[in-house]
Amino acid sequence: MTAAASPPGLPPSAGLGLHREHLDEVLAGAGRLGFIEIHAENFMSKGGPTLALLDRLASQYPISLHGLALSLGGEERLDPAHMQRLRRIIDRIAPASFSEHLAWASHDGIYFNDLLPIAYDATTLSRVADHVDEAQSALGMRLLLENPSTYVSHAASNWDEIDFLAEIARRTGCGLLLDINNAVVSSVNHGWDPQAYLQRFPLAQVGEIHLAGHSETRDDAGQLLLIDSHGEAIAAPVWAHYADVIARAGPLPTLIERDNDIPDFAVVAAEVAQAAAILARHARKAA
Amino acid sequence: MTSLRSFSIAVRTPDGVQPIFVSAAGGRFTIYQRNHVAGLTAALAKTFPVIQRLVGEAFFAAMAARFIFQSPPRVPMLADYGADLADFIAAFEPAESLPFLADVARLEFARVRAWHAADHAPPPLDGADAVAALLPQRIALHPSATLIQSDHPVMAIWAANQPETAVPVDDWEPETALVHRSGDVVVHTPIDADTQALLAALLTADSLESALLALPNPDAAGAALLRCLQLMQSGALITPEGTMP
Repeated sequence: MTAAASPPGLPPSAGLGLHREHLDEVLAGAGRLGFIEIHAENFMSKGGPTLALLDRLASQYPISLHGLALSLGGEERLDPAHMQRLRRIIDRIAPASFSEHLAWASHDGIYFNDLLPIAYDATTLSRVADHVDEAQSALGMRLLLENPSTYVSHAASNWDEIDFLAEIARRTGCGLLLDINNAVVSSVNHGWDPQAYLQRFPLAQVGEIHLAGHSETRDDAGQLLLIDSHGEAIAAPVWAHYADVIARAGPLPTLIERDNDIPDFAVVAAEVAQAAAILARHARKAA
Repeated sequence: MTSLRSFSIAVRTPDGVQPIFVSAAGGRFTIYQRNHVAGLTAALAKTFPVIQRLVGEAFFAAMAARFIFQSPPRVPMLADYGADLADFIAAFEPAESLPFLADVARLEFARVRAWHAADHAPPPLDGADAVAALLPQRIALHPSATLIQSDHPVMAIWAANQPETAVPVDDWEPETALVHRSGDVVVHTPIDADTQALLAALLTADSLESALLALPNPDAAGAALLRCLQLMQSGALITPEGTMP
């Protein structure tokens, strides 16, 4: 258990993952965004206009800082240079939240630019928990750990994904980021029941929700396969599961993620509004 | 071999067998192989749009796949990826018929590098006293600056391949480009032979004064000083000891 302080956290409203295609609208305050999420690795410039933009965004919005490259699931020690770069951003803008993935992204000095699956076994669990402890103390804040989307599984896995996440949260004091699209993608790909998955997810630990689109395909054996593409509209089942989760947990900070085939701002703003409407319905109920 | 080591080798070996301890019927492991190459190819296309225009998407993708295999990213900032693509292109036989391609890649990478480079304030340049104070100081390139000396018209080729403001290449002449950040924009400016000689003197001398004294033509010192001040004003040159970042 680390002594990392809990930041105030994100507001329980709907936010948007930042893309430069939408920068003008975001800076103009369009779309009633409750917060914005930025990918940490895009703001690791040593100087220049990127850092000025970072300051400006942070002066206008609560920021969710989302990392892709810490490789918490990796077999090697966390990269101290990368943690320093993260720490510099955190010290500069004091984000409301920092999140990373239950995955690995680097091995043997190579950065894969992807979130790769880990084995759910006791050895890996201890290693990830140690990494989360180390990251939380180096970064000086609690992190939210995101459930992954996966296409294959390690034969060594003998833990359930949710038990695994919950145990890391218990050991390290970290929070969880529930990506409902990832839950649906992984459930379909591994033959789990997404409803049961979300029923069991420890919502009390969840500090943020992600909603995104997936694409459907078939694998070589003709089996339905969902790809976590972030390039489509959020699918109807994902919205339905989201409404269920919010009905049970009450309003939670909710991010609309669209990272590929970026559409006009109006399209993503409509998804932000749709999430905001669901949040508002349950905020009123809770009040 | 550890399980992630074997996984990582399999991800980077197209058409290779998947690791045996991964349960993935239906050829699902190939998703990771494709993601790795597709994501990094997209990152390279973002940094090298002119190269992609010059060779076409299919050639670019095939070249990128080879490059990714040979020279994968070592840091997760994708804006830093591709520093050695120019050298790769220079040795890439299928691109031999485009001998200018490597230098265009150097120019494109230098522009992205300039955007993300560290800040450094210019020295004060107002008045004779300020200029006199510069004479004993060492001169260096701004952290954002790269000098690219080419046998080809790299800047003209770049300009001819801007989607919205294409300017045809008039003269096929060698060009030397100085790429740097000026305020909030990245610029590249042509460097003539005199300025190139001046830069060579400035960047190796221990002070501005000794660089001016070392010029082959002493009568040119006045013009050289003026040029040096212009380059400082535009943000290309700094006095590293004289001003704070």
